[in-house]
Amino acid sequence: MKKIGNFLNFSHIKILCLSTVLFCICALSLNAQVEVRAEVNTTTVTLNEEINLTVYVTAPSTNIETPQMPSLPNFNIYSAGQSRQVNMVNGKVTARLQFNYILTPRFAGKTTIGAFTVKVAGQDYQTEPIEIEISRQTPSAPRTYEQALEQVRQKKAQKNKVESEVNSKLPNFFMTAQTNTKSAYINEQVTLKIRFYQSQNTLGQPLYDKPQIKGMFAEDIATRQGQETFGNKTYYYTEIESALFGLVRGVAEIGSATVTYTSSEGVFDAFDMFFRGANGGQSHKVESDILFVDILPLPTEDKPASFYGAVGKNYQISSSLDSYEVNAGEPITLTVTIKGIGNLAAVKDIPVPEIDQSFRTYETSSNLTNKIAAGKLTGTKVYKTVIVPRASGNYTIPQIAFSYFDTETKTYRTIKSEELHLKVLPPSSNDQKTLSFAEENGGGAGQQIQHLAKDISYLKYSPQSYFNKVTSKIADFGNNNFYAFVLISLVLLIAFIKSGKISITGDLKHYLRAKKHIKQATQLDDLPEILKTYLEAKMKTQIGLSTIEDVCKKLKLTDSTSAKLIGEWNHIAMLKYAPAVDANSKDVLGEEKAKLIALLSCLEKEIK
Amino acid sequence: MKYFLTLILLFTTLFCFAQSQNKTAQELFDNGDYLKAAEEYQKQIDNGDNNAYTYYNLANSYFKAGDLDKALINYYRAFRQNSRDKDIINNLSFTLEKTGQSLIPESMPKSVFLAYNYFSLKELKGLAFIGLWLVAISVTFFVFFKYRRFWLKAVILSLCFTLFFTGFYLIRAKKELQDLAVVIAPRAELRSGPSENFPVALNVPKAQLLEVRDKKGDWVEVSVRNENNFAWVQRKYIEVI
Repeated sequence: MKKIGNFLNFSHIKILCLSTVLFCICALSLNAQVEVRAEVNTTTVTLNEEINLTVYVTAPSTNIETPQMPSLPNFNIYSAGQSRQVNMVNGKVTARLQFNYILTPRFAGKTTIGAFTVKVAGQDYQTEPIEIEISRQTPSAPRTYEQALEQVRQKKAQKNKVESEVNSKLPNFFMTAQTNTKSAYINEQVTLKIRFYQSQNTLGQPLYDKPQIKGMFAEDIATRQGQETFGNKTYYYTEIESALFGLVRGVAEIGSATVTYTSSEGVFDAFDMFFRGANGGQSHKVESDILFVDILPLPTEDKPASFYGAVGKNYQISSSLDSYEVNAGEPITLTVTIKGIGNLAAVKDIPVPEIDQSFRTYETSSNLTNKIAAGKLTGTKVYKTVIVPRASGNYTIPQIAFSYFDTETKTYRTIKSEELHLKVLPPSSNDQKTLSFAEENGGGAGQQIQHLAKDISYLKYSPQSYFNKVTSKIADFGNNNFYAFVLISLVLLIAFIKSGKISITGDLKHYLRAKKHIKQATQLDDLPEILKTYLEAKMKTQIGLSTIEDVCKKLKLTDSTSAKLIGEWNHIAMLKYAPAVDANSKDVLGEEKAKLIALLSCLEKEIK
Repeated sequence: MKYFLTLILLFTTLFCFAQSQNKTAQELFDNGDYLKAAEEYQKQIDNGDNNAYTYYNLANSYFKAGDLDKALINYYRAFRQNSRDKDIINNLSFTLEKTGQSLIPESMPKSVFLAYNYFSLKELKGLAFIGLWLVAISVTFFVFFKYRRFWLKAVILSLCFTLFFTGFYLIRAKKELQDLAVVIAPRAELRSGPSENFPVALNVPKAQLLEVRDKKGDWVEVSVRNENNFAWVQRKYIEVI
């Protein structure tokens, strides 16, 4: 405490506390008043449409940085300018900033525009994410230039009807907007001039709000001031010139630009001026007309393969290498430069020419510089590609073709860079070392293992495993497996049947055999033997000393069938030994055969 | 007999020819002439010697020559034939790492990936057919011979075996490997539709793996691995594995 007492006295501490409290209050009030939000004109679009996104920032500070965009891989993004309005009321500053963007979708589906981050007075503020639905559906036919113009005419006519009575005389302030053309090709420059005329002084600086531009990418060119006379009235004007480039075919709309000014009408003397200041006059707003530009598609006929989207004129292409003699394995940079009048921002990256199979090519990077010359946007795009020759020799980097649509002649033109010659010497010893296999660690015993290089495993000549071979062969055999199986099964079946190991008739064979034997029998003596053989086959055992009743039980015959069997069994036995009957007469034999066959049929049905 | 001897002679000649080709390719490789070594291995494949190790050696030659796209294509072809070989897995993983990709999906444990890929697609097909043979044989024995209980068990077991490998094969064949492609141009333009009239949605670098979704004339619908966006690319920019 003593030490502190040496440096700070009580009044210092009071000031410190007060400053801290003030700082906190300021910070809190600043935080409370900052408003950051993002808005889109629509949340459902098709692939050929565009979205106008606006980030609004309202803050009690002018220290506002450009918003940081979130990653938007599903959109092409173009900046459509910004507008700024700063008010000072009772010494309190309020800044309103508006950042405009045009987004053209790349993929169909649902996507989210993430939060934009805006730094206000060193503190980050974020907008709310916005969900967008992009459909593949072909959009309805774009409205024609005449349709669009008619719509705006109707709107204007209504507005003018009211205003014409008020503004019957030439106004002191008004705005005009005009384009150099009513139609242009995609990516062709359209020059827009917006003028604010004034025949009186304003109180304070007029505030200019840029027009909302739909379907075009805008780049400011120049701001001019001048004087012009209408009738007897002299006007001073401020002109803002912009270059516009159509993004998609259809009618692009250039909204109204507005200027808000405070007129000196009603301010009568210096006293008023001094005490009422800029807030003393009346605030007014003037706006320019809405304009339309018909954006035409580029002709598809004779479109060269080397056309990457450049539209304009006087394009030039050149290529160079940073070294024309290198060792194999050493990287060199191929630089391709394209210059011309037009919007090179919309030009895709040009592919690296096929040099030789032995060249390794890396990712191309590009850099774009735009400047304004004679009211036209002129761009220079530089592509740099790192290439590595891997074998020695003399190589030629072929000409690189680049086509553009000439807006003057309305045709495609192709320009080519010059051929480049490169001498590649054999690799230096260092390169060979890095390419060598399995670098060995030369360290002695007791040293730690050092991983010097990671490499692929060496060549291999192992034969295929037996399992792999067999399964592969069977797999290659494919559906033939089924045919082979059916064939082999058939062959086996026939072989087994022939050998008698299996029978297609099963137990039926005994019945068929017995029936056959009965038919072939020539005397009554044969019949008991045939019946006995049949019953034994069915029982799968010898009858031996068993009685016929036992047989019936074993075969689980019904009572009626048992009775029939017992009757027939006894009957043919009796005939065999009965001398009174002519046992071998044809009638008796035939009758007995028929009876026996009927019995067997009955038995066959019952015995399972 | 004559026919048999002629066959032996023919096979011996072919074997010797393949051995000499291997020797030449290996010498070229060892001397650092990787592109010529690759040509030799490619010749072997064109002559019908298209086993996993020929693809592997071809991929090694392309890798050393710096053609990572072609190396990747051939490592995948080797992997498709023999997915258990550690050298093939190692080199394929290493090449994918070099191109900023990975063999094992982030959401899958390594052991599951290795188990899933333990059998090659062809082996799975072969095993499914072996299963069918077993089913057919055991059914035959069950119908025509004694010991029915034993053969019934055999029928059930072989049926399970067949269903498992057939199902596994169908899942694998539908899902992977067949539908992969690699970018072979220095850069491939992926567009939102199958024509040059559609805007370029993505620029994809060489050796990037793509999953093939659909085909339409000279255009192929693909998606970048582990991304959900689909886009169309001209066939000349890619090679389907």
